[in-house]
Amino acid sequence: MTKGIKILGCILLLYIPLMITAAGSQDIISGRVLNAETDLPIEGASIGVVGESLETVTDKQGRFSLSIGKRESMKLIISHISFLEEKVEVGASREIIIHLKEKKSDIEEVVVSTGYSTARQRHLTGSFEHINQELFNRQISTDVLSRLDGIANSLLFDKRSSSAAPLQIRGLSTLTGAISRPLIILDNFPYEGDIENINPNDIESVTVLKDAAAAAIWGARAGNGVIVLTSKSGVFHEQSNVSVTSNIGITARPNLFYAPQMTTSDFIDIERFLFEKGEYNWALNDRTSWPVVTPVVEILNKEATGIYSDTEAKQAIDALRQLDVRDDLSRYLYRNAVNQQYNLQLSGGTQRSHYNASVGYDGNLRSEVGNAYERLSLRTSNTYKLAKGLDLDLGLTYTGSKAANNNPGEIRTSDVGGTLYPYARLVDDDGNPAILERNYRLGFVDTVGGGKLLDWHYRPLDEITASENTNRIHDMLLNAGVKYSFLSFFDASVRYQYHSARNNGQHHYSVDSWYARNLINRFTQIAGGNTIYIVPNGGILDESTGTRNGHSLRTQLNFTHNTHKDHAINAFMGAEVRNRVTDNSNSRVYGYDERYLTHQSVDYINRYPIYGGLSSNSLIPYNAGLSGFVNRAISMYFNGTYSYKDRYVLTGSARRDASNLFGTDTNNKWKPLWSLGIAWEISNEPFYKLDALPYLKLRATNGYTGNVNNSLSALTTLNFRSLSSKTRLPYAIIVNPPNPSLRWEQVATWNVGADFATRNRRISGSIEYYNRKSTDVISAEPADITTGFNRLTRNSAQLRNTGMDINIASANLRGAFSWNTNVLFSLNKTKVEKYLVEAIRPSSMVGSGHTISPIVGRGAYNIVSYRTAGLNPENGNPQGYVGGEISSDYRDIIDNAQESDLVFHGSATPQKFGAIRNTFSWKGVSLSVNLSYRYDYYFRRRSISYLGLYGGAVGHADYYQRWQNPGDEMHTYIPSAAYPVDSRRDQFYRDADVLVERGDHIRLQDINLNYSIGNDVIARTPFKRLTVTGYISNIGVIWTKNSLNVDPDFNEMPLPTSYTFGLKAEF
Amino acid sequence: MSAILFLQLGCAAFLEEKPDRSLALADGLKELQAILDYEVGMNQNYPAAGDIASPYFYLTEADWSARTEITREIYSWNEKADNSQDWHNAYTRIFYANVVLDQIDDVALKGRREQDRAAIKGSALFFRGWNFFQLSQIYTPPYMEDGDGQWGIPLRLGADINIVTERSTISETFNQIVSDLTYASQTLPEQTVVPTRPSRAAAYAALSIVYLSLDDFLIAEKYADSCLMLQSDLIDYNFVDGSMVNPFPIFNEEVIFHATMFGTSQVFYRNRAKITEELFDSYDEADLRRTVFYVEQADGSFTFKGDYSGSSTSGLPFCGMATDEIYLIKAECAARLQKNEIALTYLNEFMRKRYDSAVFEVFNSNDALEILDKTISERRKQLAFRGGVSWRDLRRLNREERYRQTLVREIGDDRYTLEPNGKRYAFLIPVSVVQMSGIRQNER
Repeated sequence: MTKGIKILGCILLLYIPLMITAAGSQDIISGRVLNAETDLPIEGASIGVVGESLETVTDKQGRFSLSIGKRESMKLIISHISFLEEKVEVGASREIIIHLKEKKSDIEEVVVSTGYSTARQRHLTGSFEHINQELFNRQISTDVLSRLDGIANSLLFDKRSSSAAPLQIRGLSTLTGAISRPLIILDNFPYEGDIENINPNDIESVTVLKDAAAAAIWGARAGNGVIVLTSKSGVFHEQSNVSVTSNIGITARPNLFYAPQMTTSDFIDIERFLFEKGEYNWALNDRTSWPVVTPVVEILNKEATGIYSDTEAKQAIDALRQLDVRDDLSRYLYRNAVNQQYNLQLSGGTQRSHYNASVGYDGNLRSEVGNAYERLSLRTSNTYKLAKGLDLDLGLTYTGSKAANNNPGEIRTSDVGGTLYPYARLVDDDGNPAILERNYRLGFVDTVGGGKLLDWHYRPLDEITASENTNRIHDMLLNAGVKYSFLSFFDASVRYQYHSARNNGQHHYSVDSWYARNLINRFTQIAGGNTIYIVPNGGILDESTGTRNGHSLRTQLNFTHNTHKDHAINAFMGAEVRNRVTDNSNSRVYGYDERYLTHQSVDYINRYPIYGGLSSNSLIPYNAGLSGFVNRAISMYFNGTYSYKDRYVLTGSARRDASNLFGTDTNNKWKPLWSLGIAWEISNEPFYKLDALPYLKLRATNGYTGNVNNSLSALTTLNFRSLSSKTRLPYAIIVNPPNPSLRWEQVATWNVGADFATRNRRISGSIEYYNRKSTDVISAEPADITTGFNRLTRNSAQLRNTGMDINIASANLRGAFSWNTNVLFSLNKTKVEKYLVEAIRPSSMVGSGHTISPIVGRGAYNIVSYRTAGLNPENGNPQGYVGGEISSDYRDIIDNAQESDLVFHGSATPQKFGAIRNTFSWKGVSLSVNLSYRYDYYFRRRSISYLGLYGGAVGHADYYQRWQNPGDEMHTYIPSAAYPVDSRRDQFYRDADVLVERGDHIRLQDINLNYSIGNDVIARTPFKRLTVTGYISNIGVIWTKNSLNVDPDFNEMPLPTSYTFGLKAEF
Repeated sequence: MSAILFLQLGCAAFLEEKPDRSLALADGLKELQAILDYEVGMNQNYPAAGDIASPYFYLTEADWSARTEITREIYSWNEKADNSQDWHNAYTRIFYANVVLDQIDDVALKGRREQDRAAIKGSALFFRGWNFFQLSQIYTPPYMEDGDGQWGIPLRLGADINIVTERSTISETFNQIVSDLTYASQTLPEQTVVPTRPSRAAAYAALSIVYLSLDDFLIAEKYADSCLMLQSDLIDYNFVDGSMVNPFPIFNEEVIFHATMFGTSQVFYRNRAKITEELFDSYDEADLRRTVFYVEQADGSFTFKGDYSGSSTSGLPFCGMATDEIYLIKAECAARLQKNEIALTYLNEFMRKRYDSAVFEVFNSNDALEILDKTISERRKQLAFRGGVSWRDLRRLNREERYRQTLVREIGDDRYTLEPNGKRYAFLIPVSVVQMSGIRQNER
């Protein structure tokens, strides 16, 4: 961080001269605002000073007065919802009259950015979603993307932990999770770094590009849509502005008790049952590797071998029955998370330059004890007018972050598997960290080595401090651009971006950590009275380093001709080249002493005996590796917009992309893509007379984008690995079989839409329909295993996404008390139209919809179940169907069930979703409540798994509703407990129709309450504006369709509610 | 816009760079060798079903109950047991071998020698032939003299994944196995740096084992001889510390070719698989293997720890070839061919290193059948927990009245049997393969 502080110092020095500007005489300016046509006074017009937050409003007579401080001249800005905005230069006069013209049409003039250019909404034909700063900042978060949840239409955040595509725009355009993320553009270039590095306070606006006309300019990687982030920048002729933001948020600790489970006491009874069956004998008898057995099994074993009497055993076990490890986990490993965010922004501009600079700090204490995140971000951006027509802009962003991950996470009793038993304790009776079993039985660990070994006990709570696992990222982004305007129509620009990121992970297992002690002990040899350490008696340090250097260069020629009264042309063409090199390395040293940075060498070549013959002679773990990646791309593009009389707009774009795909001829790497769009602003036609709807625009687009999958190759590709663990020879694995017909995925999109506004923009919005077809979609299809592969990845599918996006803003009440409602509605249906593989075994379609599993004629995420026929009245076995006949032969059901024996519930992701946001304002107070909703989908809930239960994991509380006696089948569908476990029976029940629930729900997404201190008060303070904010998020579901009342998006553990308090001051 | 022109010209070279520096094409000898050096793929995960179905061990009822269904079914010879894992693992190795074989004759030497090319080709052919043989022992009915109409396994001879799977006949299968291994035996080097790479001795050993399974004792003996000419070391168990948890290190001097079994449901993990009392009692008191191979458990049962894989606790038994097996093949073939002297020489040389030297007495007999009995008995004692051997021996010895056995397993109150030469000696072709390729399923 010291590096960061130095940079911060430099930035501040740079800006001090620019900040000292204001001087002059204290004064008041007053006047009247009148209707330019009628000369009637205008009430409620707001008067402000350009570049400042001084503001006032006119009264009934249209009068205003404003205290403006000492100054010679200034520029006033006068605005009103129904009138065109006016700017007036004020000189010596202190009494002025301003005339405003009534707005003829009710277009909201928004300028959107595509990353290549900016365009007025009026000249767009495609589907753009613009999120301005006010809306973006309504949410408070450390990262950028989560602020879009619930406010950006057609963006679906799939929050299931297993999700392959956590963020989707208009559904899935591909079936490969790794390439399903929308392309993210930060300041004109694709952002390849960690999205967490971007400080949301530096973002001015966000534009989401949804259809082909919007996204095709991004070509082969735009198939999933594009999110364009635009950073803040200064404005020419703007007074210096300083703003300080501080947010402090508290998130409740997670509720570990949300998922209902069996009581500890009943779990212990299961262990006793299994003990009597002899299930643990193999472990109890193993005196060589000493596998872990739980305390209850130890007690039962002592009882069985006569060490404990029956009463002693009963007492010892009964003492455990009351425990629940979730109490200790919740108390000692979790806490309330605290997020702090501070940000300082400076901006301003003169005639010849403008600047913006910021410093941001985020400090998050995660809810897992031992985990924390810190981020420092520094940013400057400057624009200079070097000469007439020649502009230079420079931007530099540095982000430094440090994440600490010292929470032991899920506690296990073994390095492999070893589910924790529910009566475990993390703290003993004296309040000290308790010992838990790990890898070996306690009886072995208690006495082993006779004092010559390091303590071999495992205490999970001590692990938080015994090892230090951190990851640091230094990320630097340099932007430079030169633009030269000539011949009045042209400008040529060259943009360059350099992105350099370095991350450094360190995992230091101190000699106190269980990992180090275990490894040292395993290799220790005791010869006579001597202890020989094969692995040095000291800490172990694992380091990983990654560096990423990216260069992007773009040249672009723009042609703009919009001075003619009827015709406007805007076109640009350009070329771009990108090169990104990533190098990673990792290494390990043994015998590490952090005080002196010393370490010791070890013998990686020879095998050494493992203490006590716990396992066979072994090599000391060798942990070093190198990898390197190069991503190169070349693109050429053209984009043109022609508009006639502001009524007809025609747009077109074309692009060719090439990248360094492996094992393909360069010729095949080029991919041409294009789009066309038209728009008709029908309300501008002379014949249009619909007064109720003064603004109406119709638009339609068609075009192509693509998805690039770099992980595949047309030729047999090998991946070299450094060392085989047994032979220590280098080796290669075959990544993919040859696939000569490999092609890029292509996405064709149709989009039609209408934008409208009623009089005075009471109600405005847009409605769009799209039809997006992805062809040559790459999918892993099940293969004949005789080929050597159980799945083959090929261009095998065709997808169609159809849907609708509706966006409506309504000003319900205006005036002193205002009430606005924004409604977002998205409909998306993904349909697999073609899939080369026929499902040979219908049961292969059965699943929970957690993974992408295409079914022809259905979606990509499906929930399919076995149809059940109730429980067998004799034994409580679940029953299904084979060819329409009731069956309990689970193998037969799995192998031979026909489609009619299955239930196709539907999509596992919502097909209808959106949000309703109500904002109420009164004086300086504004309250905004966002309700989000998701409809038309399903989820599969968990239930009791006997395989899990008998394998040592606490069962689901459904256990209590299980079939126990004949007749129970009348009121339960939960199968009886069967021993030995039939895993196919468990599998059948897990995938049965009875466990599928509707996911439909309404969620109270968040509430934002903010108060801006009134102008009369603020005038007496040094502030231009002062705002306090209270923000509550993750409040929870308020209505669910499922009978269990669980949150369908987090059915194991919902996100806890967070409360944030924010303060923003502007000077 | 000159930049565009420049890009057009320069982009071809610019785009040639590999996206991942560890990526390679199978276009050089180094690359092809590296494919075969993928130890996890090529030397691990050899078929387990035959061993799980073999009678030298048993599971307690509790341990059996805790195994997966498929494992329980294989263990109890259920005719519906769908053993797809062994198929998939073996055909993956065959795919790797075929990738090498498709390229080997065409790739540039790049500083290596023609000898290296020959060695790599031999190595790939060894892996393919040896894995076809492994598959044949699991998925085809035991070979019968008049077995012309019998079905073999699909013979994939190229890496092209579009080749349609078809079953060959049993004689086609064995012709291919013999042809691959014979070629390998001609080009493989006599020695390799590590026994995960096949040597010429390994090819001879494999041929010897293949011909033994076909009851062709003459040729089996010939290849055993060829193998022992190159590698004949035997470990003297008198010098092995029987108290150790792992008495034999990995790659010990007897190992000709190193391979380990797939860990199906951890049947052989730690002390789960227990030697049957009958088999354990067949080791006499002077037999060092009682202590070198077995360890007594708290419940009085004995489990195996004499694994040549180097780890007796990992649950992944040695599945390769070692000189002990070849000595016993040599002795058996000689006995069957009435060469009693030779049989006794090899048998005694072997036994001398397995019995306590203080009390060992040389075995002598004029009766070829008695020598054969003794050899078969030594085979059972030496190779009980050696992956693949027991199942192969059941399949071939069941053809002889003298050694035929009906297998019986009891689990709780249930009793399961497997009659000699029964259809269940061939496991089902994986159901998914039959569904996708339409090839003929094994009879039931």
